[in-house]
Amino acid sequence: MIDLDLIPLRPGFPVGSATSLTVLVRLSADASALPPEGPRPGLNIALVLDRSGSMSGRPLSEAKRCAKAIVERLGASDRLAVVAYDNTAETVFPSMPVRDRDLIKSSIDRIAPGGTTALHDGWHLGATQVARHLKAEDVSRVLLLSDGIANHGLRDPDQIASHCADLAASGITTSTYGLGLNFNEDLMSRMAQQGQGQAHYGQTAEDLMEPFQTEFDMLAALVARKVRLSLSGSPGCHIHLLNHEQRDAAGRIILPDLARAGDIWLLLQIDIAEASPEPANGGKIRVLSAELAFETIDGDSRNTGPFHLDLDPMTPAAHAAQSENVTVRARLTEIEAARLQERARVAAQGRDWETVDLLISEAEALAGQNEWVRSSMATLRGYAARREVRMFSKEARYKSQTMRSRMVARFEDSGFDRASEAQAPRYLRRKLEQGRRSSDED
Amino acid sequence: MTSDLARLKGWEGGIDALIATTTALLTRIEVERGELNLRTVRDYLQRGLLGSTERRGKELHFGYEHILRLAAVRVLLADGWSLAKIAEFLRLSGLSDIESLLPSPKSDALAKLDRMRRESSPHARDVVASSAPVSAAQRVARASALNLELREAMRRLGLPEGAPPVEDLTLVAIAPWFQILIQRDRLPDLTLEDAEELGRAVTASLTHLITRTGYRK
Repeated sequence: MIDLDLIPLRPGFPVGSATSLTVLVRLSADASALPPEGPRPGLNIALVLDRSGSMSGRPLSEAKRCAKAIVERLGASDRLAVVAYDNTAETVFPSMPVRDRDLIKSSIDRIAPGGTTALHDGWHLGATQVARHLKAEDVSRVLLLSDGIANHGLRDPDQIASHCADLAASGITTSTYGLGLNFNEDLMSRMAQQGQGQAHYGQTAEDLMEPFQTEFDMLAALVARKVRLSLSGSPGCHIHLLNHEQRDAAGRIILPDLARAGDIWLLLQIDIAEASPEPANGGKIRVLSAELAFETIDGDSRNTGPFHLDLDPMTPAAHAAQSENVTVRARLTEIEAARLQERARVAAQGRDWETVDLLISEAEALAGQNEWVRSSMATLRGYAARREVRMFSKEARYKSQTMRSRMVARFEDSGFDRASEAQAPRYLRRKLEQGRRSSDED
Repeated sequence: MTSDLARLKGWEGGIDALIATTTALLTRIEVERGELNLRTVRDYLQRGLLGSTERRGKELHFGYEHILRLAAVRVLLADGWSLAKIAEFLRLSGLSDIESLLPSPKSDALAKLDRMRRESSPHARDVVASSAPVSAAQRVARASALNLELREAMRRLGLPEGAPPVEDLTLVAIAPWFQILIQRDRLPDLTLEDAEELGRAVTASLTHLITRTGYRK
């Protein structure tokens, strides 16, 4: 029920010299094999809200509005816990099936602003609530909201992120929601990345609702979870992952969950020594083999493969003359643009605006026909021109992470217009500014 | 409902049996915080936490729902809830709600979270077991962490470390017994971030007074 394609940037295998190939691994749900849209997996969610002093006023009231909207999206077969944290973490509502929505909402209404930000304590208590009722067939996730830096309790970003990774291996994932200018985007995005959840941020309290809706739309449309990929190169072929570098204890590559109408993807660079593999298989050269493991939403474990990439041998000149695959080029462009944005982000933090401008120009030139990447760079240039370091840093961080790991709409092309994006499910929409709601991007 | 609970359907017994059976259940789901004894259970009964009871002869008689309620009280106490808050929660919850509140037997994830809590700072341990007895070593560790926070807050504000500074200026009365003096010319430039940072410094300063100078009774 999952199709796996191995697509080289150019067809053919250049023989006779050391070379490097770019290959896209693309996974998509086979629509004909999917059951009609119906029940989704049960959700076991802990919503962890920052109620430190800086959340006082509009941010906290908007966070509570989002929390109550989440309550409305859950049913009696889902569980929800609500945790709030400042200097300490408190269980506002213990993990229970969502039967009495009014009771949960009235508990949320009573959350009041407090002191500092014990972010890890909040995450830990939320995760404990989820873990007490862990079932393999449910989607078990901690949703952590923060507008500040972790300044109380455990603060070491490496340790916090490793805790998220450790718990994800036991089936509890972590998504993070940053709010405003002062949260630590490195910590929050790493928690989500290593916690195998999603990373979102909102520039203002009003920008918070859309990311929550996006996450729940995706959870409702899941078709495969716990997607793991094993790759093996032929002798002399060395595989480098250009995104999704995280691996599980068995050494398999951890890929994101797959939802309807979307593709998840991994880009590889394969370095090949001068003595290339011998042709076989009807004269073709086998470069790569892949095997896939995943769980359906019913909790069934599936293994598929092996899938092979076999290429026709040709001279290096003939290979260089082949046309590029536009999908592989688009993904490669986005990964390279993501790298440039990360470098620009470091330069911006050092107030080196000249380098920032050069890197943005480089990314714009690289974008070529990719209108989304080009327009995205224009928004970053605006932050650079206004010397808005914190906003530049956050936008560049989340934009680059999106470009490296986003789920792609099956029939997406290089064009970009907001009207078309609005027709796609939220989790497949491309945004020009990751921290602003789509209706506000004009 | 877990199999542990399913086996207890139809259970009946006196108060000693109630304590023994609930303790065994809590041990299996590994949510226990101190000994569950006769005095504690009588206190819960008086507060109405365990619901109505009947007498058979001179003895109080209990059933499945009492086990559920008693276990739920212990789970929520472990979450740091007060008995008053637990009473309100139980008043609004049906039997199936209370059943679904009780955790499943301990998972690999819970074991990992326990380990993380042990390996984390003393603060993390204090949060999860906030009303557990605090050892002398924990008190020292907590005071040390608070002292560190005080110094960091002072340094961020560009103030000398050690004791809270005092200026004679605009007075802000937070409470009749708690007032703050602020340099008047600084007020127009104060941002929300400044206010948050000052709040932390005030907390750290008061903590310093309480823990280091013996003002606490």
